Amino acid sequence: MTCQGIDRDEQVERYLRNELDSVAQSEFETHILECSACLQRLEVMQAISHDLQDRAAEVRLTQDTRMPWWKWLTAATAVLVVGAAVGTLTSKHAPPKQIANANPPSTGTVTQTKTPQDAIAVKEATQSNAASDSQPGVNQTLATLPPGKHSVAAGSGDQPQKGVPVDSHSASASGGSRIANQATQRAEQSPGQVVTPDGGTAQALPGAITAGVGSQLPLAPGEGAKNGSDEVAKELFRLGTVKAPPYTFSGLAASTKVDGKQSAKREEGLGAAMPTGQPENTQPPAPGRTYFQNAMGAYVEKRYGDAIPLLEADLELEPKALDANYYLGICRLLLANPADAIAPLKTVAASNTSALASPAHFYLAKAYIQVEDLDNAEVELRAAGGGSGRLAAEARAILHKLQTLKTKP
Amino acid sequence: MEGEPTPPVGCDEVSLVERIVAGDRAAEHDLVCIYRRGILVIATARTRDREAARDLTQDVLMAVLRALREDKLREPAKLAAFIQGTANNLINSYIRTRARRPEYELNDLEITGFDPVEDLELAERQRLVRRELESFSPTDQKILLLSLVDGHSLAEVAKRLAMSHDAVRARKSRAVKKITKKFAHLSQT
Repeated sequence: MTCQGIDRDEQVERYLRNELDSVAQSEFETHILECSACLQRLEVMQAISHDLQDRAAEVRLTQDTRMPWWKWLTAATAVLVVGAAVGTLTSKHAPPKQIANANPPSTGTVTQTKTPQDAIAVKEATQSNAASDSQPGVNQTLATLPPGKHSVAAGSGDQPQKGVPVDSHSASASGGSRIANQATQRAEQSPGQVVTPDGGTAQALPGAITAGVGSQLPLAPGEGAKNGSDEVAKELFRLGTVKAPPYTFSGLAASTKVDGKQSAKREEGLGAAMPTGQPENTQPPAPGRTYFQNAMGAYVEKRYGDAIPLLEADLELEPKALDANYYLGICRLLLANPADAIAPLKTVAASNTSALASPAHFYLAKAYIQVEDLDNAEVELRAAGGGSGRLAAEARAILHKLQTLKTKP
Repeated sequence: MEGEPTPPVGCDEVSLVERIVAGDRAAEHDLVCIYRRGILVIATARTRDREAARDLTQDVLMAVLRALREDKLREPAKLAAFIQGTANNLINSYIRTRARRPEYELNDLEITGFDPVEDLELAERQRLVRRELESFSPTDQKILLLSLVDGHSLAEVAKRLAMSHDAVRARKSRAVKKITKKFAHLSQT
């Protein structure tokens, strides 16, 4: 095993995710004990993971407001193009005298001169690349052009151009930068956004009552401010918030079914004492239970980031374990990762016989609200609100609010 | 601060083992200095529990030293592999037998091997990492989060963030290198 191979195969990351097989893991660990560079890399990765786990929700909710380099390049190009366009317009709008000062006259203009002497003077000035304002004959000639010539030039400049707002101030420097800014803003807008008349942006998606539609992130208060739907967005954010359902270790004991005698004991005692929403294991005993126990140890200590890989390890061994799927979905929701919470919660919700099915519908609805799939959220809330209990009542209340929000303009 | 552990000049694994077998206590100290950090990192990665990892590191080092004193290592050149094997056995055993203790028992736990300098070093590293990460763009932080915490492949991360695979790889590599550089600087001070 070499340092290059470790880097190339992302073995450090895979090791931290417990994805290496036992042989590769042993080789990697032996290498770590011998190579200080790779040891340091592992330490760095560990520290980064640790910090990001603590701030996972914050990081997921943060929007990148910085412009990447290519956007800066686009903006700079837009400024140059618009600047050039404005420069052209300026030259066309300017009085003939100013044009003459800035540019040599065109051949067509020269033909309008009154006398052959003047024409010769202009020709000489053009050929010698001398400053045209040093040619009094040229200035005089252009200044005496008939009004029709002016109107032609002005007319071409007054034609409204699509995409570039031109007004009487467009020739000024401030006007040019304003146009450039507008162009830059357009470049930054996502394809799903449209520009409102007041300069703001709105989502161009059907039935969009919220902000940030299409993103994988839950809504944050204020994200909808640009769309003029602050209140709706805030209310949806509030409806999508999740509190960790409790877990007690009597439930854990109950989930470890070892034999028929213990199972009977569970049904008599522990099973009856098991609170609503606690795990109900329908699987035979499996080594994955150890992972589950450790995961729930992390869960009750609110170390949801630590619980996730343990639950995933459990699910590799017993993929149909409803409790592991349930708490995996919950942990992902709590770490503001609703998109990934949907699949495990769906698995639990699909098992209609489980006591976890109803709470799974409830938290699945929360996940859908967070990813702004409101139609599916409604379906899940209806399923969760069908029974009795606190979660069912809450599901009905959320459903009512959701429907009210959807009817708002 | 404990710097990069390096074996004494002219001391390779074989001579280190021979010195330990001969009863040289300084050699035992050298072995602890060289391998303790690596064992701790491995134990932390495997158990995801810093306190347990500390205890396990102590246990591994004790077991290795005991075996070396009794001259049980047949191939001294494979000292690292021997330490890894010992660590692997003890960590697996710990994970298998670790049972959840009731909350009220936590206060009764006796923390062994508590090292305030190590704690300070760890806190300093975490502070440094936090500061560096916060200086990164939100996109870079998301790339690291999705890759290191959520366990997505770079291709998946690229898809989620609507970026190219190469861009994601480059940004992640740059971010990790930057922090590694700071870490190296911290180790040297």
